[in-house]
Amino acid sequence: MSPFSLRVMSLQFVLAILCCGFQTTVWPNLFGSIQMPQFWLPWILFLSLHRPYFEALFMSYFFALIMLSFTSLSLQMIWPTFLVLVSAAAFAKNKFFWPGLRYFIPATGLCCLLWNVTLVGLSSTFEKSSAPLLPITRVLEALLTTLASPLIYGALIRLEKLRPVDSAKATVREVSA
Amino acid sequence: MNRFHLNLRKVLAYGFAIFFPLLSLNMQHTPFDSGWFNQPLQWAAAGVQQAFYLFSEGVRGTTSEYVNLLNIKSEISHLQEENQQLRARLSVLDDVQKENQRLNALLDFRSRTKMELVAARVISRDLFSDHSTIRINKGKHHGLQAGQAVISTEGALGYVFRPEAFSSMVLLITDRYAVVDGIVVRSRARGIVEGKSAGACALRYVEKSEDVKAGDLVVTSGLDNIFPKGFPVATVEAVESRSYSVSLRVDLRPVVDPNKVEEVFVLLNAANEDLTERFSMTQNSPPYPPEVETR
Repeated sequence: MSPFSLRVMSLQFVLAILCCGFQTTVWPNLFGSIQMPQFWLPWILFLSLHRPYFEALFMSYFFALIMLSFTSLSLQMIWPTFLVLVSAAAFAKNKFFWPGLRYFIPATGLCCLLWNVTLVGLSSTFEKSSAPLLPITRVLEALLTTLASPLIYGALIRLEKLRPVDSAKATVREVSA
Repeated sequence: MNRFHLNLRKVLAYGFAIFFPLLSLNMQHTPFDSGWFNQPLQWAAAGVQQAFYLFSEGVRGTTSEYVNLLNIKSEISHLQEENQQLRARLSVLDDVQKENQRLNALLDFRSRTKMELVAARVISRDLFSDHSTIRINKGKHHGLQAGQAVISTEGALGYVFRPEAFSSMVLLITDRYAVVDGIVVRSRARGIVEGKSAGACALRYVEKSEDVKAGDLVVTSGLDNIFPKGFPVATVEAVESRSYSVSLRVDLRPVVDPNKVEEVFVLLNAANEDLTERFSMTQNSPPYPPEVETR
């Protein structure tokens, strides 16, 4: 990996941390107890769709370590859920994929639902006090995350264009199509 | 020598991809876990959240000023405009008065207790809706340690579980990883208060023979060495006795709404204070039986 790619990757991580910070601090301060969208989730989806499988997976594992600083949810739940999430996104990408927001927006909604379903499933299997179902909250969260996804997508596409041509050739071509 | 014509790099990559989740599933997890690898990340997260807190406070202030300005412009006559301004000022004063009352209550609580307390402000909340943690603006620098109780003037809120230098994460009693030893004031029935979801918790391991009714106050027993004895935790919302279970199912509603709390106290030293008398007076319950009172 070139130092330039590494720099872009670092910028993407900074963006992910800012998303988490915004979600946990600014959102509750301005909107009170209104359900918050998962601003980091489109980032994971973007990686899964625009990066090789293993690169996306290991980046998501590293991101899980960052997420620990923002929540009490354990790594025990986050890593397996990310494995399922990134694998499902890579599988879906191989079956049907077209670049752009028209794919990314509904994919974010599905990804958010899959995150919640996997988390509840794994939690009820492996944890003593399992995650509550909270169906309305989780559906509302998926809807809000879907609505917020174009913003994150726009920022990530701008960052992706900074990558060297040889490594980001495919992505940029897909995006500009 | 690769006799089986395997792509070793690919095999290794798949191996690592599955290894980390399997490793994490086998790890013993406690909320106090904080590995060395997490320290810089937690430091960065705390910094980002504090910066965002300052930013959002500014945005909130500016937005309210802007809204006030728009309201004033929309008025036609001078009297209406003045009236609007006075109303806006009154509303601000009301807010200030409410804040004053809240802060007075905090001061009063602090002056009436022997406990050593540190006041803190809530700066952020948990990333996930099914978890209940908050970050407060006080940390190790102010004497905070993992396991110290976090309370408000009305009742118990949670405990510090990840202290940083200048901020700390607090596990609220409504988080599903949180447990607090509790006792029902009226009948002295014992149980463990466990978090269920944002805004609710449950009293577990209460024997079926115990007398627990909706509306009962549950207080801390003091046995967990986190909270002082007799501090309000929650009120009983519903009680269900199931034939297949040896214990009662008791749903609780916390006395303090964790989503609305803005200022908290961290308990540095409980000074063996027993608050049973003070808080039991607030509930309409029959007086304790003498033998229980002398415990």
